[in-house]
Parts: sequence; C-alpha cells; structure tokens
Amino acid sequence: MEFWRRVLLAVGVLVVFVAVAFLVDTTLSQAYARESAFADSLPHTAAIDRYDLRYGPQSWRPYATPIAIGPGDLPSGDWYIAFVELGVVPVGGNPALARTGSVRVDYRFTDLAGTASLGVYGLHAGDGRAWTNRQSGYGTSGYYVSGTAAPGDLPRWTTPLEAGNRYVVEVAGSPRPVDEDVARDTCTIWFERISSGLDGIHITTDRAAPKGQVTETADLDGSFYITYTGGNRVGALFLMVAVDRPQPEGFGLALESTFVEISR
Amino acid sequence: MMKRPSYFSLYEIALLSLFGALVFVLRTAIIVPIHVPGSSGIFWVLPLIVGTAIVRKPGAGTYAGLVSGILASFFGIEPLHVFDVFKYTAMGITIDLVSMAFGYRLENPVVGFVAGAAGNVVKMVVNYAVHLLLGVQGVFILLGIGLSSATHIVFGGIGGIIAALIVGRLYRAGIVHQDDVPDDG
Repeated sequence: MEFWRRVLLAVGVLVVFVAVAFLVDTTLSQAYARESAFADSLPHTAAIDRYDLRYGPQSWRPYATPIAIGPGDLPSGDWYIAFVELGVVPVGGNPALARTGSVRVDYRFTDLAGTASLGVYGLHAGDGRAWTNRQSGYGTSGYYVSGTAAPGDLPRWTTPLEAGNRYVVEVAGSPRPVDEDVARDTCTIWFERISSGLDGIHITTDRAAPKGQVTETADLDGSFYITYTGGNRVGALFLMVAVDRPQPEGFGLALESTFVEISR
Repeated sequence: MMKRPSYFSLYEIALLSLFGALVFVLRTAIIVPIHVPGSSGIFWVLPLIVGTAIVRKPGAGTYAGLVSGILASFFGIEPLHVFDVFKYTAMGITIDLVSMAFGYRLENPVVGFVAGAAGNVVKMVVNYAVHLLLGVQGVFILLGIGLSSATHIVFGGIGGIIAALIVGRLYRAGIVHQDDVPDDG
C-alpha cells in the first residue's frame, strides 16, 4: 500500500510540473503573440545600394572555413559583399507542433553589373550559432543573378573580412545613421566547427524541394524561398548579397520577405 | 594496515562506466528524426536505469550520469560543451533518488516510468537553467516549455518502462540477482 501511495505521489508531482509548465507557456505565448502577431503578418522590405557593399574584394564568404561565393567549390574572383536582414524567419520542426513555414523573398535588381550571388545566413535563437546554405557537395543550394550594366568605379569604402569562424558584420538595408559617428547595426555570425551548420537552411525555387537547388538566372526580378529543415528555432535571417564587379551608381536591390506557412 | 574497501567494487565501477559510455554512444549514434523535444530521452534513460538496477547502491545512477556527461563534454557533441556534464549528472542523480524512494524496485514498469520521466524532465530543466545562466533570453526558453516538459516526461517514461522490462527479464533469467549483488572486485 505504501508503495502505491509513493507511486501516486510521484505521478502527481510530474502532472503538477507539466501543468505549471503549460501555465507559464500559455501566459508567455499570449503576451508574446500580442506583440508579434501584427508584425508577422506584414511583409518585410529592405533596399540596398552600392554603398551598402561594405566588404571585399574577396573570393570567399563566411563559414567555419572560407567557402566559395560563386558557383563551384573553390573560392575565386573578387566579390563585394553586403548582409541584409530579412526580418522574417523560416520555422522548421514537426508541423503538428508548430506553425512551420518558409520565407519567400521577392527581389528586384537595378543596374546590376556582372553576377550577384545570394546566400543565406540564419542565426540560432539564443546563442547565435549560424547556419548557411551548403556551397558544395550533396544538398548544395544557391541563387545567382547576372546583369549587363557597365561596372562602376572601384569602391573605396570596402574592406575584406578577416577569415575565422566568428564574424561581426554590418547589417545593410537598415536606415543609415544620420550622424556618421553613430555605428551601423551589426550582427555576429559564428560557426561552431567545420561541417556543422550547412544542412539546416536552404535556397529553393520550388517549395516541394525544400533542400533547394542551385539557380542561375538573368532575370533581374524574381523570387525564391528560404527553407529550414532543422528542428531548432531560427532567431534571425540574413541574406548575403555578393557581386563580382564594382557596381555603378544606379545599382540597387529591393527585397520583400514574407513568411509562407507550409500547408498541412 | 587494513585497506578501506571502496564504495563501489571494481565490477560495479566497470559496469557503471560502460553504461555511462553507452548513454553517450546512444546519444551520438541514434538520431530520432521526429523533431519532438525530449524524444532522444527514450534511449538516454535506458542504460542509467538498468545500471542502477543492477548495482542497487545510492550513487550508481549519479556515477553513470557523470561518466556520460564527461564524455559528452569532452567530445563536444552539443553546443553547451563542458556544461553538458550538469544535465547528464542531474539525470543520474534523479534516477538515483527515485530508485531509492521505491526501494530499487526498478523491474516494476510503473517505477521505471517514474524514474525515466523524472530523469528526462530534470535533464530538460538543468539544460534550460544552464542556457539562462549563459545569458539566453528567458522568453526563448520558456516559450514551448509546456509541450516540451510533457514530451520529455512521455519519452523518458517510455524509456523507463523499456528499462524496467529489461531489468525484469534479467532478474527472472537469473543473470542479475535482486538480493545478491556481486560485490567483490
């Protein structure tokens, strides 16, 4: 009898624990939902010009080890890079437990000289570890747009990134500070180790193929999806825009990002 | 001079170390692809409960948990690295406490369920606590804690029931004796 009393007590403690956890969860969810519901339903827009290309010239893009920017496995070429916050994040995991979905990005280039390579960086909610789209091997995805505008002057405001596994980069697309002494927004992208962080986030033109593919196009406006196939929470999403020529004065890129729920 | 006998015999230390290593191996080798929090607990609690049931001494689960935590910390299989030792050890301590509270009747599936569920959910709590200590915003952690705690209890409980069935079979087969634990190294 004593044994079963203890069993009941133990099961009771577990039930009370779950009940309290649900209470905390529900209270927080309601408070959080009130704050974010309005923002989630709106598309997020961003625009950059040639002065937002702050990094380069360089042949590689950030990862735990430098990886290529252009199509192929080996870093090559002189690329100028900007990082744009998309303001919307994809949600992965079990669709029965969360509102899962991808991010649709509509883009429009003006006066693009050479090739633009679009890559994606997602930051883990909380500790900021990063994912990026795989550049080589099975599961590679990427998006390349080529333009025909004449190249501009060599930019004087760019500096190459320093290779490592942690990068503090300026976020383009946000309003520039009026006072030049005020620093721009920055974000920290870091990778734990080589081979991790390459298989969570992808670029695709076909939502039925969430692992993505490599797309090369000459369309200066179009759209693609950013998908997430992991189970963790993505806290922030950045689009890396890299161009392999100095851009003319009229260069611009307008982006509109929208969360697209995966229909069950 | 009389040599003071050690708390665990050599046999028990070897056994618990192997079970601790097995937790780490299962954690590394088996990925449950259902993306439900706590689902891997179904495997984690198995070696700890079976090891505790065989040794039947206070501290057995803690020792096996500590071994798995040290392995997980040094191999860096999870983002918390050295802090992983806390959650694995906490799981072991909890299984120890539950086993002691129920007089080591770990062959009983109900006790197995309670031990597995409690171990897995305490591991979750310690994991969240470490994240909080490291500066992760509380809202990111607490959003979803309701479902997460329920799934941790369910999967840990299932692992505990499986462990109890294994322990029961070992007792019945005479491989392990409930009242005659090998004690001499």
